[in-house]
Amino acid sequence: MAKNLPVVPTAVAGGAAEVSTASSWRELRPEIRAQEKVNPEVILFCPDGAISYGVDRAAVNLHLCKGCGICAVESDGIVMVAEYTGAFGVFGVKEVNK
Amino acid sequence: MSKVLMTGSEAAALGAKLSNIEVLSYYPITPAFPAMERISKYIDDGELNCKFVRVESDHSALAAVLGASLAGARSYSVTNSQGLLYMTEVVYHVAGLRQPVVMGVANRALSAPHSRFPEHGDAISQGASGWIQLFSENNQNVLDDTIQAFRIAEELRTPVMVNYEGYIQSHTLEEVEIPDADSVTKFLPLNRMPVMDVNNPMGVNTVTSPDFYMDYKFHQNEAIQQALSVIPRVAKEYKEAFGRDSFGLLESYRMDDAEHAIVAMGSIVSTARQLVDSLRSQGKKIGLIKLRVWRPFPGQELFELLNKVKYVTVLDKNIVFGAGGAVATDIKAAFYGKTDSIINGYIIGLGGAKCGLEEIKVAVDSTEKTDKQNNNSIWIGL
Repeated sequence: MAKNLPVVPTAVAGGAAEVSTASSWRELRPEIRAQEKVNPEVILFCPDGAISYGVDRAAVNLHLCKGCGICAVESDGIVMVAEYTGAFGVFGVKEVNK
Repeated sequence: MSKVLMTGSEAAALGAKLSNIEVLSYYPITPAFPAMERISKYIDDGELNCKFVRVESDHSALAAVLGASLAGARSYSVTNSQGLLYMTEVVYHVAGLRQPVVMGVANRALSAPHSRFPEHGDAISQGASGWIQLFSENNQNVLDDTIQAFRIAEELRTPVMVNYEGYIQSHTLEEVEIPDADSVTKFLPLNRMPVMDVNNPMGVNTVTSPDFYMDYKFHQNEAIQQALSVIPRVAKEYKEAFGRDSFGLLESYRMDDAEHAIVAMGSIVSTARQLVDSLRSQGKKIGLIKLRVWRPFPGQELFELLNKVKYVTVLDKNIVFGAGGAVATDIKAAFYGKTDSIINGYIIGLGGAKCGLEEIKVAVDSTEKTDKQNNNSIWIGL
């Protein structure tokens, strides 16, 4: 039996569909290391609308993020870290760039 | 209802106008361009309240139409051959995003070698895209099919291509009965289905994981299969409203007691009709099935009409390289294990090659000389 899905593949608030779980095949994840260095305009560069910017504070919705790394290139204060998935599941992260 | 002489291009344009399209985009290409020019003139003259979006390519044309449709506008485009190929990526987007876009296609051969002449190769190349495909036999059909296409598309949230052949139909004058605008509006009430909302931004066509992609495709296929029942109903309602029969999925012509049936779609159907009349007057038990709908393929409906005939001659104005004619291949697949009939496919009329009475008669005679089933397509007119 096929799953009951919206007729048109859409996502509220922009970005990857809530039902799509793009994060399931992400190999790298963005990590915000220095809030004061984040360029607020980074939200314009995220192709999946996964980054929001409130009052002096950025946040990444890892459910929407597919790990492309554009944010880490376009803004200081964000780095990409690898997600290790082994036989026993996710067990750690490793910083790959600064 | 008035009757006037008009080309297939004008019939397509008038069909779109009577359907009250709200957004139009196209990129000029031969032989579809007269339909584009005609609709642009309707807009310029103030006869049609429609936004024309100028673009730099066929790909962008369909993208603009897709965006307009997502915003809820009744949207239309026209193209053919290389333009349709250039659109292909967006052709699949429109179908996967379930947008009720209607597009006229003035069928023309595909390059290379380059050709400006009619055949169905362009439409056939999009057969797996998820668009419903209607094939019009004459200019009256082009008008009627365009209007019905919007009803079908909006009911199923599935796009529809209305195919008519370049030059043979796009540039040739025929008598066409024009329904009055108010009656068309009543038949085709505006049924907006906006997905996008500027006050509630959202993403469309976002990355979908393997957990859901296949399910989306399943639902898309379910929708296009429903067209097999929706198209005949819409044709019936159209006949009740305007008095003309569009015959739903298929038209059966002189098939009573027929031992041999010709199956064809598009303009060659009219020529095959003449041949059937001529052969009937000589006592031959032959009939004709006009395939009005190619996608979804009405295999079961065809089988019900053809299961008693001994010979089936399928005329394909296309070639799927390495497989044969698309219609013959589909028929053989649909009839697999169900029939002992001899079903022969013929490749005919490619790139504007002559496909008159003589060529169709050669095909008919060839089928009757066959004594066993085979999967080869026979080329006529080389």
